[in-house]
Amino acid sequence: MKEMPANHLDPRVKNVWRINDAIWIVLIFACLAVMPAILMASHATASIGRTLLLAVGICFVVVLVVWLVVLPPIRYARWSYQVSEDYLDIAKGIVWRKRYTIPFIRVQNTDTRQGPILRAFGLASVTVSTAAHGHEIPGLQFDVAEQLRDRAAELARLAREDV
Amino acid sequence: MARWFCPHCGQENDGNFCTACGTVMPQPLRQTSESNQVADSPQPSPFVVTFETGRHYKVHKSYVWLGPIVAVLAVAIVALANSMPGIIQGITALKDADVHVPVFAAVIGVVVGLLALYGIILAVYALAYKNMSYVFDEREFSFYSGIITKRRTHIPYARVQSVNHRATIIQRLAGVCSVSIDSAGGASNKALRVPFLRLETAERLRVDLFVRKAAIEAGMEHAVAYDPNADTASVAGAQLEAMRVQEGRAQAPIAPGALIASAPNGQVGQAATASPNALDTVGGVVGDWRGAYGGLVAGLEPASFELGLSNHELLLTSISHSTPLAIAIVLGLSFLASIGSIAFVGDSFSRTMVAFMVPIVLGTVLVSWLIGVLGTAISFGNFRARRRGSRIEVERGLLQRDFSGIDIARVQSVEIRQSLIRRMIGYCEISLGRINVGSDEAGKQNNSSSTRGLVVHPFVKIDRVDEIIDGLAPELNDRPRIEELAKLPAPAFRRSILRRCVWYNVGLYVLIALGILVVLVNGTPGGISATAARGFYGMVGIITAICVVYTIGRAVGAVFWARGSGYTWNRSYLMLFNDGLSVERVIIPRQKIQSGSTRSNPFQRRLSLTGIAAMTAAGTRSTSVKLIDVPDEVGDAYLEWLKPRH
Repeated sequence: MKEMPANHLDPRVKNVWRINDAIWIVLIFACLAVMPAILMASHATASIGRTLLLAVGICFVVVLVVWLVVLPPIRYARWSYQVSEDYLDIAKGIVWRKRYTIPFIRVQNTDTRQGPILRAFGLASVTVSTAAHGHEIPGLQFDVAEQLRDRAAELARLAREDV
Repeated sequence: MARWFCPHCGQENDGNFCTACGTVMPQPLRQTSESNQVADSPQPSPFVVTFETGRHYKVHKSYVWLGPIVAVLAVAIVALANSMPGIIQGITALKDADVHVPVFAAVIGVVVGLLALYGIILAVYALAYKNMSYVFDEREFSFYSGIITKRRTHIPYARVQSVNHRATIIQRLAGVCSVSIDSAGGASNKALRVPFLRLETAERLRVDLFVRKAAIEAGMEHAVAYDPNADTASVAGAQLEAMRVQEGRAQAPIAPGALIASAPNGQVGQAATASPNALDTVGGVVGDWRGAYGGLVAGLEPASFELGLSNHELLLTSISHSTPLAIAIVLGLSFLASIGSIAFVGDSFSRTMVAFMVPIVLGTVLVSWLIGVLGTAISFGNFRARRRGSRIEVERGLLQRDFSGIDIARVQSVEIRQSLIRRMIGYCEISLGRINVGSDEAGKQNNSSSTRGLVVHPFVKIDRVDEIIDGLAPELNDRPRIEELAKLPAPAFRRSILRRCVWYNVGLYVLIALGILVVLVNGTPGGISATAARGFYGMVGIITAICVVYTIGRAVGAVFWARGSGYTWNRSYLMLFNDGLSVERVIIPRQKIQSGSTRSNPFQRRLSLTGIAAMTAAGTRSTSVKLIDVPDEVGDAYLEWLKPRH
């Protein structure tokens, strides 16, 4: 296997992932907990409801630990990118390891985006779009993201082709 | 039609085809009379257009009365279908009550109602017509429409990518069609649709748009000359090409002019389509039918290559087309299930029932399949694919006529596909991947042709594929050939069988779940009657048999895939070949690969294997072409190959 791309994301992105995933996990498990709660309200089904709620609670804790403690460092370690003179190289994925090559002459536009969580950490994400697909680099320092976007946009401008 | 001599065999003819050998009448011969006189006169500007700049042109007047007919017919059919039970009920009730309503009066009532509806819609269409016009400006094409909300849609000429037209049956009778102008593409870019243009106008419109586009590209949009009587393309088209070649902007290593010159006597390069098919003969009458307002054929550049379908090709296209077959199979299976459940009861009454039902069901399935086949035959009737200048054009349909063109530089990929049946008889379908625009039309008829690119030959013997690609797109001449394919490494074989039969065998698991469900619902056959037990074992037996057959099919497909699949690339093209029960071979120009990737899971990593994928912009969103289980170093080399070169 050839060597990995040189640049890593900003380490703070792990916290962004944690918060993001925590919101989703809480929402999903809140929905799952509705059914047992209803069952508990009635005397006849209270015991079943309690057992179900306990099961949901255990699952919640396990999922929370996996997504908030175990996965972010691995995901961070696996995520790397490199902006070369005329192509973008991305490697990511834990189980399914993916490697992308995106020549800048195919890039149609580049955007930076900053959601509320990213903004709180002073980060931004850059999306590099070709005519076929967008590739997002999440969680870069704001000025690095700006630089990357400008760089990609300029390199893309140098060679434009009609698809 | 003038008489002509077949350049192939010398036979004298007056139809569209040579009666002796079936050669299509060469295009240059079709228009010698018009093009000669124009070509001889000197032209001050290379860009001659037949629509005046800045002038408002109206769509054809048949829009006012023909448009509503289509609408009213649709309403009438829906209304009739919905109210049928009510009508029958009403009639029987009246009969019972012994009240005689004059049927005649009822019919008149309905007709008057429809006429009134037609009148109202006619008024709306008349208003719409009043506000509808199109304009060629210096830099863009505009279409004005709307009754209350006035709309102006415009496309800069530089953005025009393809100009297609379609005529429904009713439109064809009148010789009008709807033109759609596609811009850069993508799901959010809808095609601009100009309804109800005469065929002749549509053809001139297409030519004009491309002439103006070329003028813009040459920076000469002010030099566009207006000449309403010009035989546009035979002059402009040729000069346009000459200019492209001159400026070195020709994508084609072979200039179209050279192609034509290489064919002596103006003979059109033609695939050896043995004989015109039966529908083409009808096409002589129907296909060339230009309708009441169609007008003469607008002068077009001569085609350098043209192909049609022979009788057996058309027949087999229709028979082997998967859609009618799939419908028939689903229909048959659902009937079979109901028959089966009756048959397992096993008493004499159910036996008689089954004896009655089987022929009826078989008949229904057969008829539905035949109707599907006939529909396919009609939709591919009078099929023509040709190369004209830098464009590849496909025309098809006996009743509804579709015209679709693509510039050679916009071809995203060449796809060669074989379904199971086609694979068994050694035939395939060739299509060109293109960027589709999202349009209402495409949504309405979401058929294979609109989602899978432009079919340039629906049914061709596998060994003639290269001949046809070379004819339609000689630019792709240096593509890799199938013999150059590198096969997958040995571990791919075992993985393929495991993957198809165990990991990704969703169908099998659904069937097993179904079997368990049957057991659970019916319970164990211990304490129930003998007939019920027989039915139970019968069902379980059938499901098991289907499971076995299905898995064997998957296994065979897996073996084929591992043995046959492969990859290759050269300087400018990537070719990925996925073998199996159905086969897909995709050739992608390197320039059209938007991004490439490799992907591997832990099992693959242990064996040093990886999957490669190429993303192209074909389709409405994008298309990804994949091949899994190539060696790691091949994956690395592939990514390396994708990097821009200097």
